[in-house]
Amino acid sequence: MGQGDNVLEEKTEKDKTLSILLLRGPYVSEYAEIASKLALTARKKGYKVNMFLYLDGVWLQHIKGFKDFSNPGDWLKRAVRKGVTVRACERCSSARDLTPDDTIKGIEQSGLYSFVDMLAESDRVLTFIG
Amino acid sequence: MTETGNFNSLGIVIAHTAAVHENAHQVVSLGLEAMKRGKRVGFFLLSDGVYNAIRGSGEVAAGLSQAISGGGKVFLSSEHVVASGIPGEKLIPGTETLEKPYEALVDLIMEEWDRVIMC
Repeated sequence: MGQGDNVLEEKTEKDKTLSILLLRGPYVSEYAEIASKLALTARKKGYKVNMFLYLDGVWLQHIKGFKDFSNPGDWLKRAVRKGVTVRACERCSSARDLTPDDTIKGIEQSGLYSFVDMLAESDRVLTFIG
Repeated sequence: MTETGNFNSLGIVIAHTAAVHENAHQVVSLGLEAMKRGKRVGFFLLSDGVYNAIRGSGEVAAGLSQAISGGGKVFLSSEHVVASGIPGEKLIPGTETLEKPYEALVDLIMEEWDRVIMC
């Protein structure tokens, strides 16, 4: 995590939570990029933001080296650095042979039940599934 | 028509064209029905969803025009309109093209709309 990446001015913090469920991987549609940009923008505006990567959505966390083209995973990386809580379905990742070494640091592999916790604390939920 | 539900405003985000699947058509119909029931309805078109805002392009465009006529809002992502190469004169009259779409969309989702549907 870069210095200062996770720090927002206190005056910008808002008492509302947005949670995003992503079921689509990058490069299939723009869903992965839109979801990541929305998460990042909402966090920058001071909202608490959660993202849960499920089914093919777990591919979004699979980014290692630098890419000289637009990569939705880079937006997710920025979102994590800014304090967005991102969790990925452990079973979905395992099924695709994604290991912690393959994925963005700071993303927790967890069960779908943790998404229920996200739902419980959310004021708004966006689902990117279609 | 009796007002139902415990919400007053509905936001519908459309990122696909009607040509891909029926969802765009369905959510526009849903939005129009919500307006009939007294809800404030806003549509936000981004990604390929902006193609739905081409005037005369089909039933979805007609539905969006109807929504605007009835007091609904139709917002467009500027960056996606530009990327799609749609000239301004081909857009449905009354649509609002937003220069900072993600910031605007977050404001709508978190502060303006009580319920949000993604399509």
